[in-house]
Amino acid sequence: MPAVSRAILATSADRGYYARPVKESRLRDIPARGTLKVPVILPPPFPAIETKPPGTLARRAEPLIDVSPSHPAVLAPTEASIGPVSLVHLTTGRESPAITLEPVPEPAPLAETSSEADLHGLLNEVAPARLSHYIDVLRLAGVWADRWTSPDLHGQLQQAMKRPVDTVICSTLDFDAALPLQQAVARENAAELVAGVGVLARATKAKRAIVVIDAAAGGSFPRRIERTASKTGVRVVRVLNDYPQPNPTLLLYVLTKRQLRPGRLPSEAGAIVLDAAAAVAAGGCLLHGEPALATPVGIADMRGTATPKKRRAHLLRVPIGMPVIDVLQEAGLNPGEFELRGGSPLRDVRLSAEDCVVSTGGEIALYLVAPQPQPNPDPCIRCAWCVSGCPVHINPAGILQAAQMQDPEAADGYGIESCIECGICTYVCPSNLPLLGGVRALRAAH
Amino acid sequence: MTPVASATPRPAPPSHILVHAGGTVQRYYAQHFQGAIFPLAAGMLLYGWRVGLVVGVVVGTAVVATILWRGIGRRGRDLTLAHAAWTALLLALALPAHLGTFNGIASVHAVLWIAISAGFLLGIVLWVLRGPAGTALHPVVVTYLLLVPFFHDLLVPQNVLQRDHLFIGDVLDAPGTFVPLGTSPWWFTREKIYGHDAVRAETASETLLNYTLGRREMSARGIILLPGLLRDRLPPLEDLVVAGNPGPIGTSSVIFVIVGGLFLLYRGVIDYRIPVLIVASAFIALLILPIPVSLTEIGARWSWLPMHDPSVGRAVAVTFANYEMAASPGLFMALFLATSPTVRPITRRGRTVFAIAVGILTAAMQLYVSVSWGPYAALLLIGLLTPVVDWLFKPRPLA
Repeated sequence: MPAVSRAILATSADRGYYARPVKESRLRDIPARGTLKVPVILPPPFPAIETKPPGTLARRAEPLIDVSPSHPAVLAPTEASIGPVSLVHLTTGRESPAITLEPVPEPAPLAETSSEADLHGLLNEVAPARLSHYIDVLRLAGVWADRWTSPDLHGQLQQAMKRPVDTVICSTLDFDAALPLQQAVARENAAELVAGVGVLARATKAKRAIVVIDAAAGGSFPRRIERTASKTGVRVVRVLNDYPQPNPTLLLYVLTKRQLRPGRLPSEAGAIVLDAAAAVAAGGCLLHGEPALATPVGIADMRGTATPKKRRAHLLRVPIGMPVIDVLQEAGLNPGEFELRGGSPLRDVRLSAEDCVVSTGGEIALYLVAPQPQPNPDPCIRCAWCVSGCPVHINPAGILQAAQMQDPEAADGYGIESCIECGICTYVCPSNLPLLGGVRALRAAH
Repeated sequence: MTPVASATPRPAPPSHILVHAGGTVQRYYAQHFQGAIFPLAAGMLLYGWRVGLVVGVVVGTAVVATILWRGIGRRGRDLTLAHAAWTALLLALALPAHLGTFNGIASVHAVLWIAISAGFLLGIVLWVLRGPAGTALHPVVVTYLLLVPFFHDLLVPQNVLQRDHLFIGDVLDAPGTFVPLGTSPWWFTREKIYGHDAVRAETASETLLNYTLGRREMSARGIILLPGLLRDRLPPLEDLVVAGNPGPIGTSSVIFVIVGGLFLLYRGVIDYRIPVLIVASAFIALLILPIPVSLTEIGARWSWLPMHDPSVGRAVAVTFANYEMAASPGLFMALFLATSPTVRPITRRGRTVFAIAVGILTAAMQLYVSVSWGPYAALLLIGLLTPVVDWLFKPRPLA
């Protein structure tokens, strides 16, 4: 992050975004209680979905519907009776049809981790010519990812079959130390992480397989990853984690100096990028045959007022399809008044806790923030903090001006194509201008 | 450029807002205010209580004018009181302290009316230039340069308090005679003049300008060489750097101006490139641009790169440049005016080019137009090119 943003954030450290790091680092399993709504990942317009008759009992990991070969399988996360199809929102804000499930009273327990001996054996068996096989294995296990830190994994692998990929990058970087979810997932599932990265690298014939860890990460985490990755061909690289470093565009640039337009898949730049949660899901499937029935979810409750101590982070492993409101209750969070934001709170992806469900590939870092007032913006004073703070070196104030004049060409001149929607511009703007909103409005209109 | 700002007061945001860094426009200008405290304090020390009167009148009238003009049209809604107060303070720092007098107030010729007019004129200029939302023209520079043609002689300061009357003395209580030119030692250790709070002295800026324009007093005989100018016709450099030579309220003491600028740098509200490059390029330009190395009865002998002239030498040339920098409001302009968001370009490369251009033009304007307002004119002219600089030096996106 440019120096001006650090300076601004340093003076606002008490305001909570960079809250104190939490000591809790183990994921807590949440059982599948209450109604689940398992999303069916399809592009709009959604076709009619034919499920089994309502009331039919589905066993754990049983496919609920037939999907095409280009979409991930829809699996029952627990033994449950099938209900109707409804529309829900994923934690990325995207709408999706979902199959309602009512779990039976005593659901089956979740799977456990494996040893390293299997890891080397698995990696030795990988055949580079069988990438399509591994894509199918992952797809049928319900493994997918399509979030800000891990772009469409399935799409990347499909593209890797047609164009060469020489690097696989797995990021364990978190948005901030207050919610170390990726790090916790990587630490608890180091073997699966390395397995996922290693298999994908061998299957795509990538010359480099990299696991990125935070240069400031302490404790046993770095050594654990390095020890697990030793002799597997997977390199561990330390990167200074200043927000929004976990974004693929920035990560790819830092590691390989390649430029990637936001919205494009990293495979277009010759790399596969995925985060720790996606790599662990892939590795768990390839190593143990484990389908993706639960996903790690981190919830940071940032509503504390005066002291950072009142803020809490919850690291959970949640069954697919569980409504976020139920996750909050299971986590013991006092609902009160809050705004739910998917991913980094700076990105301002607002979600409805009642309407949103957890999925394997959606945003897994959720933030509860206090209801944000809408201050009247002041005129732009040309302080250029947005320009100085922008990690991709565009002119957000110019883009907002272009948005107000409905001038996409001018916005192109100011670099709208390169905007990764990190939200730093809006965060630092002293005039409270809706800079990120301007970018999104213009992109939506054109 | 921005959504319409409301004229109604805004409630303070709750303390638990998280998804914002906490910076506001008011806080931004408040930090600038804090930096200006240092030159203001120097002014109050050197020129006494009349400084408070000048600053109060200018800021007060500017605020009143802003309040009035805020209700006028779309431009009025862009004005903010914090920005108006900040620019009014800068304008007051550029004015002399002797305007702070009620003498002859009933008459339109009273000098206090200049301060009152300056405040109102600033309010109008802010409205025309859209206040903080403006681009390219600094309202303080525009206002000051509008005053110069009408009141130039009245804006030339002549008095400074003696060291035992600092802050509380009356700067207008000075003898009728000037302190001799070339007086040494410097102001702080000089002998006191009893019976008066202040002393009267010719400003170094006027002396320097007369020399660089090749003017000779008719009473002068013989040759005036550049070393002789520095030795015999200018006050000690300490008078300009620390205190002692009459000047505008906020620009007389280079040290205090620098301290104020360093404070702004520390707070991160100004870009270091601009003042550093302005000063550096102005200094180098002063060493290169042609100046008279001697004045004789038949005319001036000009020389480019005067340090290579046998009668000058490196030390004298550097000293001359030091005098030029210290006698002008160049440092004040570089630290407090050129760093303003309304005039400086957005990108770092643009600011670099902007600062170098301002520095070079400042040197030229000081040497050939005016030492006392040349830097302001340079900023005005180069500021007009800021939109072009912004267009030429757009940020280069990463992807």
